[in-house]
Amino acid sequence: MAVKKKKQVKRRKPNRKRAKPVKKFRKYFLYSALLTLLVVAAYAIYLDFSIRHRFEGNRWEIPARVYASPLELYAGLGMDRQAVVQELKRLKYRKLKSPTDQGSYMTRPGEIVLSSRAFSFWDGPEPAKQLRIQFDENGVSRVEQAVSGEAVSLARLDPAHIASIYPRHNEDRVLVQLKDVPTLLTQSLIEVEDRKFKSHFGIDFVAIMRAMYSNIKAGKTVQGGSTLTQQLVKNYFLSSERKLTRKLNEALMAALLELHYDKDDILESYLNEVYLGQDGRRSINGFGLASQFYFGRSLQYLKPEQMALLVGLVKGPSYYDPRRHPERAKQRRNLVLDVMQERGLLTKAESGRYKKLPLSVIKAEKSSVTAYPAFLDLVKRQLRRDYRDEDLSSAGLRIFTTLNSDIQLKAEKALSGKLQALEKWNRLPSGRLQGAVTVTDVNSAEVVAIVGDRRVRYSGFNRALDAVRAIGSLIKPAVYLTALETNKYTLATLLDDDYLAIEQPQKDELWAPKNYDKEYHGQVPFFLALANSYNVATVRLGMDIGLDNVVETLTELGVSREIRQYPSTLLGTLAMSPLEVTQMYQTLANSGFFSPLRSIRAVVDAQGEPLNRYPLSVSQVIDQRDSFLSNYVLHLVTKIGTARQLTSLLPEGLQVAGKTGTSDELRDSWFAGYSQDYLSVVWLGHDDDKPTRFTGGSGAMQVWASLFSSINAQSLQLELPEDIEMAWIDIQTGNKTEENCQNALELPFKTGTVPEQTTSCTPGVIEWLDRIF
Amino acid sequence: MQNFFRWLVLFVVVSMVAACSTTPKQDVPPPVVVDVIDRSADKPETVVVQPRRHSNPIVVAGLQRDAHKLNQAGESAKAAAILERAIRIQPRNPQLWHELAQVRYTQQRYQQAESLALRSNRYATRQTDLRRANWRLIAKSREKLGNSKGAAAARQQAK
Repeated sequence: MAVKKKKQVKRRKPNRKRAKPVKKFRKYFLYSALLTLLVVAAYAIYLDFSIRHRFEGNRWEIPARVYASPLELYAGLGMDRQAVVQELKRLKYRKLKSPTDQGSYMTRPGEIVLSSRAFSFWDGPEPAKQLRIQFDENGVSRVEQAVSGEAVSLARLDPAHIASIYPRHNEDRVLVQLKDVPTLLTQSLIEVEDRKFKSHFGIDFVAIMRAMYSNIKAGKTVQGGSTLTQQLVKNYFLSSERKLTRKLNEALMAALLELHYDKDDILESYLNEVYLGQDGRRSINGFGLASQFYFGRSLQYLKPEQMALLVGLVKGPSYYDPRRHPERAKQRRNLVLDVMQERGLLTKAESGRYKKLPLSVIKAEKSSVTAYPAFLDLVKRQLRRDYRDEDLSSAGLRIFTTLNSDIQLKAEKALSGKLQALEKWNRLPSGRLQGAVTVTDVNSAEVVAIVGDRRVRYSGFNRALDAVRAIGSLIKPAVYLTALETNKYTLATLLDDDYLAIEQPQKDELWAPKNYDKEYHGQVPFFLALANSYNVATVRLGMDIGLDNVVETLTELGVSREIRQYPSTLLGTLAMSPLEVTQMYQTLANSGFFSPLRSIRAVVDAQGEPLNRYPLSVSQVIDQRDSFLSNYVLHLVTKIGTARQLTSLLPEGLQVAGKTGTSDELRDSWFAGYSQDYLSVVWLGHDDDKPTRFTGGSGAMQVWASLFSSINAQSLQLELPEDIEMAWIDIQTGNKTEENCQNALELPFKTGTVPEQTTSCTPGVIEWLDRIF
Repeated sequence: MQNFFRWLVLFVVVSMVAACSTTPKQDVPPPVVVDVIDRSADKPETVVVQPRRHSNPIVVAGLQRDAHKLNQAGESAKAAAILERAIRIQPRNPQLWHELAQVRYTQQRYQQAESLALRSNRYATRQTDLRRANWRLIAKSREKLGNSKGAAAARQQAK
């Protein structure tokens, strides 16, 4: 009865109150459904955008071409015919009977006739020219038009193409086009990794199911169900997370990719992106690079069993690393060969034969895909430092560098040859000693050569840029320069090289520096203390003028490291890389003008517009006179000081300046030296920092001398600046004296600082030479 | 023998010092071909060393003309690039450094203009007209940089 009533009540009442909630609910449902749809759509659009951006960003990458410094030909150039021919060979000019085609040449006694190639430089176009170049005993004597005989004042050859790099990537890449990849390789890859690649839409559900089943059965992950497309997506975002959300994202993006791009595009990208190994810090991405890395050859020259190994690596490059786990790698390779045979890519006989072959993987030689890895390393760093990423990703960039291929090769030869010789003469184990060489142009601060390893073309640790080692006595010129700047010292001022003991901060015991020969030399003239690299006199001098002033000088010279102000700093406990040392000596060699070292002259985009220029910039940081005086002493170092052996090592008449450097316990052997045109810093040492048995003079200087004997360097010419005068000095007393006197030496002085006191002259044989020798 | 050796060393030191104490002339030194024994190798090698000749000013005259034209036409960046190329060929030619300093001044890069003019003077030890021109340029640059004291000092030098 009650129920009935209720029912009736229900029916009779107008239902407006209940209608509202339902409508509201439907409204809310509709709105939220719409909102969710919008969110999902927005997310899908976002995913679509990011995957496409990624895909296309990498896909259309064209490498930047890197060029060495071009050869300029003019009458008066000090290069002989052979040297010019070497350059033409580097430029791949063809030797023809009649050199009328661009890029050809022929030789006759005393001359070269060539047809240069037209080239568009950053500062304008250089048209093709037919030239006759005549040589005499000093080098190029005349340059003229080959046909008319009219003189040509200056002709620039096209520059050598030394590398193709992808500036945005830290490491070398070898991008390949699908058409250049052997079909056997791509087919094997598909058969092994993603059989249904050609037909699926990005995701292969069957494969996923199969994988899940196998994995559950085995209790762990034994199979992957990812398609190549999914793997490509995973590679782009470098995620090793195994979260479900990540997997879903990948699946979605894979589908989106398939929507926009065809199978060939995706396959090509995959071949260039897939992670195939690790070489220290650099990752090996792409089959092109992997082919070089494991087999030392390009993709097109791979043998079937080598292809099989690479395909097998996709599943786990570390797990199947053929160098660290050769057994596993071989098993995996043979499994791939089986698959190839099953699917009809190889005959049974072939697969049988290949499975028996060894892995034939080359040693991890870190062989670079470029010819000058250490120099290019510097170029890349300077690019990254001075350009934005966006600028560098523009296609078809051309980078004009400062590399001098001739000097580069000679520097490499000097280092590797001399190290071998030093090891042999001293009966040392072969290969342990390492080194680095930098060479720059004194006037322009351009880096012309960099050698980072005694093993040529090795692209591992770049010692020239990254071996930060104690510089030892190389610091001393900065100390003496600081002293000269105070105007309280001249080259003749007597310094005290007697016993000295100093309190050290935060240490109880006193520090008593010793000289290399363990002797004290009493009163010694300023120039001799530096020429002979006396430690005690230097420390006393440095403490007198103030450590902070020395540090300031170092900063002015271009040292940008933090320098701790300890007394021992004066003897070079400060650690620097060879390139940093080069920057410091560059300022000294360049008469006190600081110019930042540069390896790039210009970067130009595909339309020929310069991206940015690295202009020659100078600033005078050291007074010319102080700089002259210190250069003078650095020259004396090579005549009567610790580098005097150079007189017998270098070509006769070649005047140079420099400084030897030896660090504590002979761990580091340094030499920094320059001629009129080139500056070079050489470092020798052990990578494990153990003592070598070489001083700066017996080690690094030998390499330096070998280099400067081979590059036809110009003799140093120290031009007297204004306000410098020469005077004869008695080097025992530091007083003025006369020529032809005992103990007399002519030295330069700032006007007005020549000592007034005189020492009476005793004519005769100069006894002081005894003290030096 | 000891005596002889000492005299030999003394001779080398003195002649080197004497060579440094005279300002080198602009003339080209007579070419010398020298035999050298390379003691650093296992077997002795004979190397013929060819000293460089100074390159003729004519070599860079064309570049200087081009740079001048470009600078007049307002293409100072290109003009600078060409002058740098000339400097690479003749690094101690003070005229080139002076012209580069002028281009930098046109570009309103006064710090560089000043430094480059100073550099030009480093090589123009006996060319008084060029030196004066450099000091005038240095004075102008220093004025622009707000260094009136330095500018006055430079103007003094230009007299």
